Amino acid sequence: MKRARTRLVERFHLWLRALLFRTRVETEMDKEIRIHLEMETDNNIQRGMSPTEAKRAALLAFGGVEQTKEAVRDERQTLWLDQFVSDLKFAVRGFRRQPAFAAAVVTLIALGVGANAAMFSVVHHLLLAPLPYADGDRMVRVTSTAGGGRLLTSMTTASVDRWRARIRTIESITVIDNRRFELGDTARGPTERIEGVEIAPGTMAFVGMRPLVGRDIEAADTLRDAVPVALLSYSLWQRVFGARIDAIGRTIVVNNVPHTVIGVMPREFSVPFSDGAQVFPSFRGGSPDRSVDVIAKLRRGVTVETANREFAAIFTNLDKNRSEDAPRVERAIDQVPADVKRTVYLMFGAVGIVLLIACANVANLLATRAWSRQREFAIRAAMGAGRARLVRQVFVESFTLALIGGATSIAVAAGTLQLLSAQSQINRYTAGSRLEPAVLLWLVGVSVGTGFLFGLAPAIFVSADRATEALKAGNRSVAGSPSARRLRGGLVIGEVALSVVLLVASGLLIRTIVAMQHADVGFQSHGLSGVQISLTDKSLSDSAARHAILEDMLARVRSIPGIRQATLAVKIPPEFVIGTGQLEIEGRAVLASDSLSVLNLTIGRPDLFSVAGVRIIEGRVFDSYDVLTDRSGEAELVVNESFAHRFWPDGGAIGAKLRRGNGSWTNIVGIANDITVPGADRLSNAVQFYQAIGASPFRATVAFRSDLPPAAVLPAVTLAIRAASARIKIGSTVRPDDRIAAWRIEHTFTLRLIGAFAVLALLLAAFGLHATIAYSVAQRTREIGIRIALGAEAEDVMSLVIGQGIKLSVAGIVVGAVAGVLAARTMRALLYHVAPSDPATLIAVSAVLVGVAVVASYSPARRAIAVDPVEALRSE
Amino acid sequence: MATSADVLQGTLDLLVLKALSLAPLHGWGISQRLQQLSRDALKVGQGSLYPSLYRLERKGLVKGEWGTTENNREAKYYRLTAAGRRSLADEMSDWRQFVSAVDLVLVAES
Repeated sequence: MKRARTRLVERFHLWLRALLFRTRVETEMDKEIRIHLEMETDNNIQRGMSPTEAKRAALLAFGGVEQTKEAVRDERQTLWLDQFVSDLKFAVRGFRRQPAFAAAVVTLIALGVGANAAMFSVVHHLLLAPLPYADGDRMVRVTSTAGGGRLLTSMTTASVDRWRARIRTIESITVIDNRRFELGDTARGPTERIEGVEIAPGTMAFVGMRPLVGRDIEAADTLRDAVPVALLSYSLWQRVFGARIDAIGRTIVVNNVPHTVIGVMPREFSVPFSDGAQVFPSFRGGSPDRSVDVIAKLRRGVTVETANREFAAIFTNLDKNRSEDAPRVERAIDQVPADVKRTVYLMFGAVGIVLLIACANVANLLATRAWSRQREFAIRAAMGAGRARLVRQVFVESFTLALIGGATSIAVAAGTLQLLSAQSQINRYTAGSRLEPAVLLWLVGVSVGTGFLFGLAPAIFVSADRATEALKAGNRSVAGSPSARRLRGGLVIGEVALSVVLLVASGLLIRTIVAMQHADVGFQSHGLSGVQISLTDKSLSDSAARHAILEDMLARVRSIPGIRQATLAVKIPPEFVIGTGQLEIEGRAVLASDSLSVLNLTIGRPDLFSVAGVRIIEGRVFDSYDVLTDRSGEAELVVNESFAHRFWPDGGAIGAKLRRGNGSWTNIVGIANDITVPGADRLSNAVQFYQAIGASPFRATVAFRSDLPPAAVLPAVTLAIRAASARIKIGSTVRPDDRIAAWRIEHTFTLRLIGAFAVLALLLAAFGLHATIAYSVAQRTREIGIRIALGAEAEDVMSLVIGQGIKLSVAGIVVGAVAGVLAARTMRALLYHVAPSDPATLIAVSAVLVGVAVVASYSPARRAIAVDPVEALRSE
Repeated sequence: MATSADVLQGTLDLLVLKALSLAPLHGWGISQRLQQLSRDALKVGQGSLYPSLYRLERKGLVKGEWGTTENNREAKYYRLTAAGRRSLADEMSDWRQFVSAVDLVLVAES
């Protein structure tokens, strides 16, 4: 036992010595071998040889000195380090000799890996580890809704207290109020709007953090008569107080109330589900009906489903308002809308494809380089480098390139993230994405992985012992060997196929967007605009006067040249008003469906239908409000097609009576067509009811239809409103076209990114095609020379070369089309009126790729016809 | 024997241990001793001794130390360690068993 240990220690000592004193050990070995040779030489001289002869004989008897040294190093086991260092030096020297090659490879890797790491950081932030806390995976947000999830309502402090007492699946629950605050004293000067969260005692314990300096919020701070206190974020502390410790006890004015600063939070602190908050005032007093945001921590091992079941079970036993649903818990990942998730996954797939193409390209470059270095490999093999050694050399080279590329890719990733966060539509979701340790780890992993992938091609070449053949055979036969060609061809076909996948995705998105633009949305959005007005000024409190002003205003607007029609509505399509209250149809039992406790309404004057271009399919438009009694319009309404069909599938909706909540009964007088906006799944058949707007509303939208662009008539509309009364407040402008386009944002944004990746992929594939064809032309110079000598015309040679490019690209197109259609199925939810296997898209993509193949092989083809047969034949 | 045989892979370590069992030797000395012991029948590539020596040293069977030859030349002398001596005994008996087993087969053939 002891002996074994001493031996182990000794071995370790030797190894360590070899490792640390590598040069000394190396010189020792040199010396030992030199002495051996001297002894043998002396011995030979004594046996009567001449000194030169003796030396030669000694060397002969010894065998290869270098092989011996190599073998000894092998035994010494620090070999890997020696070889690694020498391989590394060798690799770097090689790259210095071919800077263009090295730069191309590093650029390709940096682009591929960088984009990949950027997308990974989004995935990581959004889906893998959205809450960077110790118990982040158990943290949930408790939300309450009404109407089967269609209407977001808020919980109150009182209801949270009730739940806290009952719910078992939740470990702790705390209230916060995330909103914007006015920072600064309005009396003193300009103020600033910042994000903030009002927090209750216990929020810090919930998150598991303590203030960096100062104290936490305590129960006493929440009393109605307590001095208002606040905690600061690290960044606000730095910005406002210059990170001075004496900030504690000083005062900041938040929403015009002076708050005493009691502490500063650590830099990494944030309240779950409220990124970016800078000030954390304490909850104070307040009524039990105050609405709050609620965050909670599930007990260990409890799933979201279990918690939701418990909520639902308790809820059914409580008194409840019919329109309200049971509260639900959501993890951060559940809060990311499905369409955003979809986009992120698609992007992640797209960057993966770009990375693969970049890899294939680099593999191609490295393989070409390996083939052009076969003599070098052969010589090294002859000098004693084993096959394993050569493979290692190849891998050291590819890993070195991969790591340099990986390091460069950090900049690419940072840039890509910047670009992503500049996209306002998704920056809500990508804003927190950073190059955090996990992302850097991923980046290194991906770099090493790519290094391995693209090192395979040259490694296969080296290990196949082609190198030694090369010495015998000269240059031509090996590089042109069928298997070498197959490998290169396979790589290019793969590149083309992958870029086809991305192009198909882009093509389908383009078709989708075009289809959406031409879709019948159920109203005439084009040319329709609205201006929001409010008549809440005290001087306009008389309803008759208000009515007169509104009539005057509409007359003025209608008389503006270019404006054809104008009317009043609360909101104009595709937007609507949400009404609550359980629906009741006369003569039927109360309809229990949750979806009927929240209704989508459009409230306007009768001529809104013609202004907005909504068709009445059956019956008539409701009457307008009677100015004097302010009644009749209330008693009539128009329902949409889907609603009518749902309850009166065989017709007969007209004449039926409905009421909401305990309101009065109203008659259905007409049926309007559905309004459906593609891309806005949640809003399909958006408006269910149309009813009349009051004769003299306080707030309304002036809806008008004009042949001129909105910007051209808006100033005149504003003037007309002002002319009717200077007391009318003019709000924002509504453009249905813009609203509809906003619902397509997911598509346009996805298209822009995937399109960019597709173009990048196409360029990379074109590069690969070009390189392969050019190389093959160089290989076949002799053959082409012979053909020309035998009388081949320029066109024959051109078509030979370009034909090769087209053949490769067609193979890629076939593979890619199949893969593309399969991939497109995963994005079916994103497609609108286009099948994943849309023939037009496939044909267009194929045409593009054949075109690219022709362009990519054109210059090699020119080079081929310029081959001088005499030169070509002599060169071998 | 008219021709000399190449040393079988794996037996070189055994031969080196045997050569060192009489007295410490330097590399060249070992090659001379092997030739002498085999009466020139074994052809050992002199260079191939060194990987073997390093291997044995790593296993702790021999130990190398710098010393001076009778011609006043610096040289690295290798000597057997106690472990080396034990290993030599084990391997010699293994080898004998192997040889007699092969012999048996060959005799049966003829």
